[in-house]
Amino acid sequence: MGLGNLTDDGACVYACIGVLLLQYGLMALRMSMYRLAGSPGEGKPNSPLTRFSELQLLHAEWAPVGAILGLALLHQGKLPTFYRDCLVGSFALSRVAFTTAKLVKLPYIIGLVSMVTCYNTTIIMSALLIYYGVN
Amino acid sequence: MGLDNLTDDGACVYACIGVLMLQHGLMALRMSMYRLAGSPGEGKPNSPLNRFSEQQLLHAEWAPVGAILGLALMHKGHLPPFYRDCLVGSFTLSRVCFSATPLLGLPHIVDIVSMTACYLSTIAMAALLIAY
Repeated sequence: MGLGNLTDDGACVYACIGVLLLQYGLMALRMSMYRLAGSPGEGKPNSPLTRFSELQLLHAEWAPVGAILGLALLHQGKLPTFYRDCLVGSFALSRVAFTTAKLVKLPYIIGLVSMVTCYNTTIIMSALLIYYGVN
Repeated sequence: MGLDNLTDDGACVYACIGVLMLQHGLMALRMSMYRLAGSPGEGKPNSPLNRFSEQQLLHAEWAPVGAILGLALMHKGHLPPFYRDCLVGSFTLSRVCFSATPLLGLPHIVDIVSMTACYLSTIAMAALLIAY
């Protein structure tokens, strides 16, 4: 059995979708807490609410993209599972790292690398879906 | 073999999802380039940044809808593949046309037609999911 046949049941893809959407739910819940508390600092640049709101919006924009691409690649079944899991895993990891880097104020390079990873994995997964779709 | 049995492997749906998500990634990348360049023209109506940002936001809003509906119809498996592929294909084409129209300065009618096609295919796919 080569690397291409590992985790053929899609466990990694489903776990990554779980991570992405769990983060989605938790971030939305935190935003609701801010709203319930009367949205302190709304409209002020660099207030905790403004910064968190921006991150929450970005995650809400990207999480479904990774989940859909992961599911589509899994059910298309043409990409070797190892590469598929690596792509979906690095997408999920990049979203977690990007949010953490901004929230915890980790070095700028971590945010940059995770953003680039997210773009790269999205473009690669999309291109592979098209490639295997037409071939 | 009739039209109803063509492309039963879902290749068209997967390719359409790929196109939608590739466009999503590329448009987001372009927005990041604007941000890295200091967001020139932000807040000014009709600046290239504002126009592109609006298009990017609209695509980010709609692309997952078409992808999810396509995947759901495919896995439900009740709708004949030909009609399913037509619906997902027209959704994808309408999103590409809608984004391309203002960016390339195409006539306004292309915008209207693609927007209407997007709404109609979304409503049709959603209704078919419920009906089947």
